[in-house]
Amino acid sequence: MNDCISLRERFFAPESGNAPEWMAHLQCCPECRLAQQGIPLVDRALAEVVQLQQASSVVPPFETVAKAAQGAARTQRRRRTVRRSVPFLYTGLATAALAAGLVAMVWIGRVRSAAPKLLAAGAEIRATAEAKSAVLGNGVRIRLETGSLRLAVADVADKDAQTLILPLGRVFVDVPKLPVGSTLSVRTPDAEVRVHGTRFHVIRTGKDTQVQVVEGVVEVRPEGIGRPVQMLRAGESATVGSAEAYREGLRRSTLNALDHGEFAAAEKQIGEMVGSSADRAQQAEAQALLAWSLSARGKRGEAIQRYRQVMTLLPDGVQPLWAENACAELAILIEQESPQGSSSTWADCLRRFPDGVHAGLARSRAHPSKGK
Amino acid sequence: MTEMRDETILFFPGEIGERALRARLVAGEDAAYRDCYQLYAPKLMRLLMGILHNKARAEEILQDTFIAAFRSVGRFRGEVSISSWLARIATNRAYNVIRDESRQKRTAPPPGEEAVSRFEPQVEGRDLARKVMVILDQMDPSKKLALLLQAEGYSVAEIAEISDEPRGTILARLSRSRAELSLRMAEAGLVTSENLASMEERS
Repeated sequence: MNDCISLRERFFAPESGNAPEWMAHLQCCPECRLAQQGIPLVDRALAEVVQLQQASSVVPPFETVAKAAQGAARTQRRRRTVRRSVPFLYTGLATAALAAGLVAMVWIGRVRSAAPKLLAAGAEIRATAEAKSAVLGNGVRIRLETGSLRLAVADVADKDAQTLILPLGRVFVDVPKLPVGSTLSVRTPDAEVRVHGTRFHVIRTGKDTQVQVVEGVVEVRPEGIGRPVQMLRAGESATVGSAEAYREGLRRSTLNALDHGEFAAAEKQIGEMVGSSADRAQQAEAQALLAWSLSARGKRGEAIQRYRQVMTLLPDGVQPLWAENACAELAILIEQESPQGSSSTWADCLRRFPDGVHAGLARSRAHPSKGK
Repeated sequence: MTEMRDETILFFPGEIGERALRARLVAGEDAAYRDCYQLYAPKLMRLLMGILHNKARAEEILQDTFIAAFRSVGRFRGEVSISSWLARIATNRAYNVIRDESRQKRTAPPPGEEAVSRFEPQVEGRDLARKVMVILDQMDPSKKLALLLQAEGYSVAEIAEISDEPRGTILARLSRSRAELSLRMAEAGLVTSENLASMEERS
């Protein structure tokens, strides 16, 4: 029976031929023979079934599905439009992504550029159009609002003492708590501002330096010899002029004190002038003022001694009016002490100031016989 | 902009025509849907009549088949022919209906003479066809479907696509079905010398 099923599967298939194997089987299998006999009738019967169905099948008109067809067609057209626009959409998205990327890159670049850079030894930053920020190795943050700022090379070698040079401009310094012994200073032509963990402003104008302390304590050391150190606390400020301006101020106040007969105050200021004198000419001028004060107080001997010192300090070729006066004062004081002994002093004055305001007097006193 | 056209578009036979029709359907051409319906609806209607033996129900399922096919034409990738694709939808729906009805009416009488009478009572000279239809209804549904599809002119490959089964399985099923139908026809007394003689005369 299994052979029959197997053989039928092989030889009852549509368009299968009459193989010898199948023909031999038919000789000995009446059932298969019966089935084989009816196969042509099967094909005919199935064909008649189709004809019967065809005759009885009336296909409904298309209008029964027209609505669905129209809807489907519309949907397909819409999808097609969308599909066609996809490349443009992708192009648009890609362009947008590219633009976003560029914006992000620019933004990141700006953020990075805005981040304070590490100020290397000897490096200089300038704030022209906008403020510049920098940070030092020890964490000190700097904001240069105007002007230029340089980190001194010599001081960077010593990490415990860093110095910022501010020739002109405005800088804000935020100093964290520095280790013991570590200092930071901002040096202008007028002053050195030394700090130990504070926040402050240093403003160098064309004529002076202004220091405003926001937090902590600042030690202000004015440039020039003998100038007093100032300690500024939070909220305090100081204006430090140049050494020249400071000395000129001292000179003016000294002269003012002398004019008012305040000799003690004058002599104290003269002491400061001597301390802040940078050269021999300045020292000589201070000594001359002191001598004048001593003379005014009747201390003729001390005054003569000071005037002699002035003449020693005064370099050759330097002929300011005060020096000319000082020389004449010395000669007069000597003349008051010893009339005979003043001729050499007047001669020295004539030699130093041959065209000076006291030249005529000096000439007559130095050579009295010629004058007669 | 597509326009409704009254004339039937020339449909090339075979794969080229199928591909062209599918392209027109996917493009949303209104006329393509009409062409598709007019081309495949008669064959499907015959198939559904063979399965269901009920004109109203066959028409209903035919409409459902095309509505479903039109709605999902965008997802149809052309792996099988349009004809096979439509036939698969139609047969699945038809057998779903049969299953639903068999669940609801378990007590209903099996298809027999009544079914044949419902099928085509007016046609004369079709005794053999009517009796074979009765025999087919008594056979296994898958065998009946294979025989009906074959009679409709579907190839073995297309029947395999519609049934979603391997080609070898369909080939064996067709052989067994033909043998079984032949034996059943013999048992029913249809394989007679008269019938055979009549067949020879026709041929």
